[in-house]
Amino acid sequence: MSTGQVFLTLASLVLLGYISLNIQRMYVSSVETTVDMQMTNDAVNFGRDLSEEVQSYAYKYGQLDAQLGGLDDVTNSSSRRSDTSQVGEVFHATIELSSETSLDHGQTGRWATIKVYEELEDSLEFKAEFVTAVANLN
Amino acid sequence: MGKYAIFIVSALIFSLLTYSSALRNALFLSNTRTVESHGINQAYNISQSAMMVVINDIRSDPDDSPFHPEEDSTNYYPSENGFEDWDEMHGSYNISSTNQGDTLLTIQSTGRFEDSNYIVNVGLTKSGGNIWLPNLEQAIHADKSIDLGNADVEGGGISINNPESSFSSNPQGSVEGDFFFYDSSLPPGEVEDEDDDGGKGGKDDPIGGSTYNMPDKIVYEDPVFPTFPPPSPYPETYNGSETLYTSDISGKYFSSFSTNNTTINISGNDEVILHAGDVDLSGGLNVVGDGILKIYAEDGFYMHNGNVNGDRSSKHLEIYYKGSNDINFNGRGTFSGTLFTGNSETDIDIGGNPTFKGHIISFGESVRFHGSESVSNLVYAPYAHVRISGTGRNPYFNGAIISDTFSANGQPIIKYNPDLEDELPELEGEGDPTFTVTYWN
Repeated sequence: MSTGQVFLTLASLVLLGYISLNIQRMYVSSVETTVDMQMTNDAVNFGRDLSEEVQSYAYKYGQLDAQLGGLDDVTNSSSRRSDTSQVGEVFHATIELSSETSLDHGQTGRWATIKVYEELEDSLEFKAEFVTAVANLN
Repeated sequence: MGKYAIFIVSALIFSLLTYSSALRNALFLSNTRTVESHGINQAYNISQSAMMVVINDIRSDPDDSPFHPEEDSTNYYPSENGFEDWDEMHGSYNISSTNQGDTLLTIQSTGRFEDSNYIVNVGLTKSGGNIWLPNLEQAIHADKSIDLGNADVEGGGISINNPESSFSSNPQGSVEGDFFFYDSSLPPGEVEDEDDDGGKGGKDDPIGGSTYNMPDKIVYEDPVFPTFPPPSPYPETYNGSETLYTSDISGKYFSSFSTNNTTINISGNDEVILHAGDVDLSGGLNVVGDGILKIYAEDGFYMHNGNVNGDRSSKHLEIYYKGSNDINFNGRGTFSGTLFTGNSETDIDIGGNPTFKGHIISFGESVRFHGSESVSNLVYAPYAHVRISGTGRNPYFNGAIISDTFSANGQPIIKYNPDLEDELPELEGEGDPTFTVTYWN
């Protein structure tokens, strides 16, 4: 083996080590991102469930405030909705209801803004937000 | 040797780079899917919210709503492929609505958020309004009271817009179906029947089904009595037995029109109006052809025990009477048609042994059936006391009754027919049409 070949081999080994390290980092990062994406997906699904619940009040409109009113403080356990995912992550959500207002085409109803947070060890991380309308269909 | 090492290292590097690229792609796809999932959910919210607005817009002002197309046509909003921005929802929507036969609206709402679309489909049935279609869910409805006596109500229930005590019956009276009443002092819903023996009738339990307190009264919308054309200053009279055709009666005014087993031929699908001051069908009338004969009687209407369209479907004859004389149909006559009396002073009395096959629509105060007649179809008399009395199991009534008060004597049978809607004449309703959601997906 010539000196050139030795150097070339050594350089290749250094490059291999460098790439392997990066791959390792990337793998760890991908696992973290995948978990985070899963959390976000769970949060989105929780928001979807709440959107459907808000919309269902089109047929029991008079009960909207009694059932969903006051859910506007994510730090207060009695003023928020909570859900635990299959992997044990806890989500909290607020539903901010507007007063009766014009939605579109002169038809009135309420806006509902749904915000979903993930509970971390000592804080809440905002994950998703949805807006829906609900009108009285009775 | 060194050469092989370089090849191996190069292959390893290539593999690792490929793996790294695949990992990056997977991450990117995962991220994209999450964003798409959020986008689809917000598009879903937009389409659902737009659908609610559309339904309420149609219901509140059907004539001017851009989502309520003419019969058998389709409207698009804002255009076939365009989207209307909806800032509050952070997206846009498109609506297409199709009017099928003016009885069903199929509406499609497409919500769009960024690049995501979501489609919601809803069916709205249209009833009332231009076409009169009363609520026919009970065998007997009375606004104030029902005294069933010993009558049997078969195949259906009864309803009253008053408290439960407004219903009474004798020991042999029975109702096969449910009993609905309205009492604002009680919570709506099913009422436990302490005497419920699960049987049919009985002294303590005439109700075979369940008993409910309704959340609201049942409100009926009257059909519109047609506007008669002004009587001609040059009236004719008719008293004959020959066959008449459309040209013999259409556009004319008869001060009196009396039949003697007369035949009137209405060809095709024509609707022909016979306009007269006094109409006497006691001598018998045959309506032939596929069309509809509409008799507008201004001052007097008589048919006594005649045979009036008796052999045919009731859909071929409609009688509109706005005079104040009472209408008596006694004896052994047969009648098949619709009888609509628009005067509150007109009472209707059907007795003896006739066969009455058709609808009675009355704004009068009394509709009475007595004897052993056979009666079918609808009695719509929301301001009348409807009485059914007879002997044995007669009269036999097959249809539905809507009344102010109802009473029965003897042991008549009132059999509920839920299929009356198909047979009703096309009458105009007084109010706006109602739109009911039949599917939402």
